[in-house]
Amino acid sequence: MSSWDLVQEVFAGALKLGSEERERYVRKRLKGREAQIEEVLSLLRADSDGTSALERPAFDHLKGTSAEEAPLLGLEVGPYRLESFLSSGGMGHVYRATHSRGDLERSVAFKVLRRGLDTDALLARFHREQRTLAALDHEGIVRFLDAGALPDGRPFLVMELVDGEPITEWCAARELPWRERATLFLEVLSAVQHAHEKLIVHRDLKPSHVLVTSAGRTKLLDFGVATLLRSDDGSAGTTRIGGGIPLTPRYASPEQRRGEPVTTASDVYSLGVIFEELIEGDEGARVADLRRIVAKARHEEPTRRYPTVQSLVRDVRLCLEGRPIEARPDSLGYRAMLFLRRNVWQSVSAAALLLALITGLVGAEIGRQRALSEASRGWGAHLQAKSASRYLEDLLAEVTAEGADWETILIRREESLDRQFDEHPETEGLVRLAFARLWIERGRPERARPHLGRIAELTAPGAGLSPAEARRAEELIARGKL
Amino acid sequence: MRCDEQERAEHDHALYPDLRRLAASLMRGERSDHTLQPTALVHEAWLRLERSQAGAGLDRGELLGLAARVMRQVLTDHARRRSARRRGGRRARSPWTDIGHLEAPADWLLDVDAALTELERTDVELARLVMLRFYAGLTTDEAADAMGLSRRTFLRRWRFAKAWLQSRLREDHR
Repeated sequence: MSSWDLVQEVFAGALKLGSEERERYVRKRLKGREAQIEEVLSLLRADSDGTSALERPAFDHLKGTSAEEAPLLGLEVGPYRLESFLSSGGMGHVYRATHSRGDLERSVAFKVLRRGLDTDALLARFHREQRTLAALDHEGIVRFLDAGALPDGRPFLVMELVDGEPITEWCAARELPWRERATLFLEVLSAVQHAHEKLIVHRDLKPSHVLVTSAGRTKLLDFGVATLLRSDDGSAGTTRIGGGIPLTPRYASPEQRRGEPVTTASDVYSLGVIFEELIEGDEGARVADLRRIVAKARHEEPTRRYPTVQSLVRDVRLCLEGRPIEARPDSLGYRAMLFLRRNVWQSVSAAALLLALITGLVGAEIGRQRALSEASRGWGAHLQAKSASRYLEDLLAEVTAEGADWETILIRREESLDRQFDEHPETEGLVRLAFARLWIERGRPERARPHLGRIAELTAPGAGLSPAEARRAEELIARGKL
Repeated sequence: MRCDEQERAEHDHALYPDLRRLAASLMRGERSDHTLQPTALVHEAWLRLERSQAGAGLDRGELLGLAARVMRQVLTDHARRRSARRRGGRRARSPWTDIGHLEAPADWLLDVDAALTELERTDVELARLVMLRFYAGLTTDEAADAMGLSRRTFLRRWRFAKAWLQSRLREDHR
């Protein structure tokens, strides 16, 4: 192994350990190679000093900055001395500062409003962040310490200094299993819940605002765009985004992107996106419930998300305990309704098709329910109905995909119907019933006929369709023949 | 395959001026949208290259790498023009000089560029990763994809690269 590769390997190995054990590990691994020991230790120091400036793309550093607006290293303001530049956000620059009181010194984060941004509206926003932070008291939320103004009048904000990594990267670097990721996520939820209880919506939750410290605790940062939910009528209300607030599209809820009123449900959405990224990091996380939690948290419709962070917490806990969660996948009817709503203006025929499909499926559903209650038919029939409904659901997904030509899809699928349900005449009957209905509703009875014919065969004594299903088939046959 | 390599170098050569012009015009804000991001530039560059004859021999990863290199050049040039250091090569001075020294982002970027040039001499691949992530502004997934690395490997290498650059930047300040 080349010396360069070795340095990288030992660096990566040391990062998996707690900060106290690292040096010993490095010295042991690189025994006798003093130069490389020094190199790795220096890299580890650089890593823990923070490399967040490099996290921000080069472009962002140049954007809107000029020599006059440069960082204020070395500046002393009251008990604070600005030591190094940490990062720049949309509103201001953040520095690492030393706070001295008597003999005691500690590092703090010092945020200054960008020069030229001190308009009334932005000043108001800066002060709002200050008030927001001051109102929060939770170990998972960065602590507000002090506020004031620079000699040139720009306001500053002093906060607890959090040296950490974005939660997604922290988990990835340690290759944590999903259970540990979910447990860490619960900590984040508890912090967001605390904010919500104070009627504060964060509005910009994303991994870079959810850090994990070297002690392994999560910290929520940057309430720069947080808002207080108005409660004029005594209940928690909603609030509208002011224009031009920078949001991160990937984590912003659909209503936020549209500039609509924002509620706690928007934070739930962002949390859903973060959770999805967290669990995707572990290939072992093939738990259907996890997916369902994500789907519910980041639902397009705010009202169909988890109503509170508390309810999201409950499901994550249940999932960790291996117990059934409360989130259910969207029903087919709901998905169909969404589809209709999306496409109503463009495709009447698709709507008709779907209505037909759903009618067919309701039949299949009824079949399933009845199967459950009829002991005589037992599990076999239940499974038949279930697999029919699964087949149709799958078909629905295919025909509702963008640009899909449903007729081609149906014809292609018809070709394999015979083989598909070889051993399961009941399933085949139910599926063919749906197909027949589709064609009839579409005004193509000639294409329904083969299905109806086959259903007639299937309804022959002993073939397995129930009397009700047979009756329905007969009705269809009659209509098809008209 | 020497022949291939040569061809590729020519491609680079042919595309470079075009990309430079494109990037420079974007930097000057000549476009109507004010939401310009380097990623937009890189994607746009990629689209243009994909359609153009010149880009025919390159795959997406290579094109993105090329665009990232252009972006580095353009941003560094930009930083050089803004740098206060060019006046006598000293650290910038500002209205705050009576209470402290300053380092403007432009100067910092010039230091990053110098450190990256040093890294390039040791590890070309790692330097390429930095360009995709830091200069082209690609997300972890996009950059990992462009380099053909898993997300996990990418993050591990990126963390090392950051620490390496940071340790060089720190030396500069001493």
